[in-house]
Amino acid sequence: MILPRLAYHSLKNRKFTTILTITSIAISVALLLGVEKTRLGARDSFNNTISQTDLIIGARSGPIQLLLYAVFHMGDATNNISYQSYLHYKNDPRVEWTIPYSLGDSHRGFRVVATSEEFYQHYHYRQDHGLVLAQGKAASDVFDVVLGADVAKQLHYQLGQEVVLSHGVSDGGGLEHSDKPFHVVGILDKTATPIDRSLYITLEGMEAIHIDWQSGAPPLPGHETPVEKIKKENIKVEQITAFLLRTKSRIQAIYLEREVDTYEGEPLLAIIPGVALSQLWQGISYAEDGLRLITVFVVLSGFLGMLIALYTSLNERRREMAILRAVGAGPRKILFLLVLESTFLTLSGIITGTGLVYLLLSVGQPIIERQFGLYLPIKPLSMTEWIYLSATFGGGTLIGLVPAWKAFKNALADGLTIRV
Amino acid sequence: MPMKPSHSNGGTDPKNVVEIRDLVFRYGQDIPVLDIQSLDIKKGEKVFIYGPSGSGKTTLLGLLAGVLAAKEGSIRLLGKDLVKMTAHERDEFRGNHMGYIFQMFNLIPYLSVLDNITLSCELNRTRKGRIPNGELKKSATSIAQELGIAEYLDKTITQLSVGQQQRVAVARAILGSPEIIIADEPTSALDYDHREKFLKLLFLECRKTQATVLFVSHDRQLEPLFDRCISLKEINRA
Ligand SMILES: Nc1ncnc2c1ncn2[C@@H]1O[C@H](COP(=O)(O)OP(=O)(O)O)[C@@H](O)[C@H]1O
Ligand SMILES: [Mg+2]
Repeated sequence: MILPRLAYHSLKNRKFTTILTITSIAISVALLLGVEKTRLGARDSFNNTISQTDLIIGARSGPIQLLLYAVFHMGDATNNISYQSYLHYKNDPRVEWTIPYSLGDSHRGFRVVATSEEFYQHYHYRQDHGLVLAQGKAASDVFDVVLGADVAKQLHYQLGQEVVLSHGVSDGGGLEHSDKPFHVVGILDKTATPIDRSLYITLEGMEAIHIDWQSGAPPLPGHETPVEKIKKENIKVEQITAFLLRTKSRIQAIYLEREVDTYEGEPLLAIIPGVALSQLWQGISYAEDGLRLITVFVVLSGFLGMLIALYTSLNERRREMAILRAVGAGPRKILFLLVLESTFLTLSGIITGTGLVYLLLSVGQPIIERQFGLYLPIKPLSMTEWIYLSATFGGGTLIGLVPAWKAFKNALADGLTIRV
Repeated sequence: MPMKPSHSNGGTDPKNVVEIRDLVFRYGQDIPVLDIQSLDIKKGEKVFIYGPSGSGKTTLLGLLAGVLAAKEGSIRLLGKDLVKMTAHERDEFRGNHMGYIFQMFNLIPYLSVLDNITLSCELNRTRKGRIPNGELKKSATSIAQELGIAEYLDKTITQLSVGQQQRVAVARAILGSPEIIIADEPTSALDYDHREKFLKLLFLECRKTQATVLFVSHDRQLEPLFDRCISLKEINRA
């Protein structure tokens, strides 16, 4: 076929504008795919903030509220639940494991989560990623604290460091548990989830720092129980804030959820994290539409560049068209030639842009994960992405019809007249 | 469309390659630019058509090439009436049966000399079919040799002088042996010595393929080299 060859050589002849046009289409395609991949990545990261947990159980309140404090360590629990209720479910034969959480304290803006060793064993995020201690060991003694990766990094804390927790969760101004300092015994690996932004102590540790407190007020100076006198065995955990639960079989989760909601001991609420997470995501996902709209405009502006490049070239190409007509090319062939050129430009732009996205992704994935806590998997193009690319291809070809039509009209009007 | 002896176009002379009858042509609604009662050109003739600038030479060639469409009269080429053809059929006819040489700028700037020469055959299957399969490049090379441009085949056209470019145009016009060669003042950019040399080369090539040559110019200096000379003013009643 001679026409594709002509189109190719003609574009090659205008190398600079051709490269610019392809680049601008490639950038818009990369942006389109990038936004889509980021959107999916963000949604997936979000929905996979926690995994392998079938139910989250806390005091009765709103499901989103429970999700926020239990998974994102944000906001406040209205009520605690009794340790008794926790044990009731922990010992249920249908339950594989549970992870208790006791919240309420903080350290320099980071939340403190009191939990048990089950946390280090069973907590999972992003399908099958478990927690890994980058340094040290899990918190087991009363005044042990383990740091999330971001906490350690931002505060430049090391193993052995003394850490004083604050009462309450407001940043600064809170009362400090300076009488009972903790020691860093471990630092968790980066997870790119809210896990990174909290500190982890034992349930007993949480009880211990509040041991002398009377109805929400700290002990008077000099009346604190000395640290040496506090022994883990002597501490009795009375309350926790929430707990995560894994059943032995997923079907039981549904039954358990209903049972928890009607538990007679106290008003409880059970949520299925996947469901609650996607509900929450839907609430905040309107930003996606705005982002997508912007990328559509970027793609359009990429096309506009192509339109300008092809259209302005037509005038200087009139004698070329006259020669083509003289050797027997009809106006329709001229039209086809121009369509081929725009198709070639669009296709090259799409291929380059897609390549660019995967290149950036493979280079930037660890950086993005580290910087933004966003895990972007490198996966083949999804159905939606194929649709986007096809639409881009169709749009480019369609817009290419404008200069093609102009060339067609020129060819008819000029005939064999050579304009110089 | 290979040339066939015509029995279907009663009354016309099969020796005529061009037969114009009662042709009237105007651009849009204007007064006619051309009004030619009759013009016959025989096979193998080398015809010189002269007329001053603006007399309608290019218009006539445009009509003969089928780029301009006449509504009145008939233009029979090789027994086929262009006036009755669709635009598409005329394009195809031109590509397959004609070689067209412009005054200047005959070549596509982004193709090599060889690609410029073979373009006419690449675009027209029937024309390419006249060359044995796979021998397109060989034919192009041998024509280029005869025209003295063989050493430039792989060059880009900007490396050629105007005279060389015009010879490339001849090579393209002649490749695939079209029956009619149309030249629109192809020598006006050349000096006299080169004009004569150019014409002799053109004629040499056309004799081999027995092509008919229609050559227009406002400059009558070259007239003696042709078989026949027509004044456009005399045949044009417009
Ligand atoms: N595309 C066109 N539209 C309108 N008038 C034209 C066009 N081309 C040529 N003409 C007119 O037709 C006449 C003949 O032009 P042309 O055939 O180019 O003459 P020549 O080739 O002999 O110089 C001129 O008066 C010119 O102005
Ligand atoms: Mg002219």
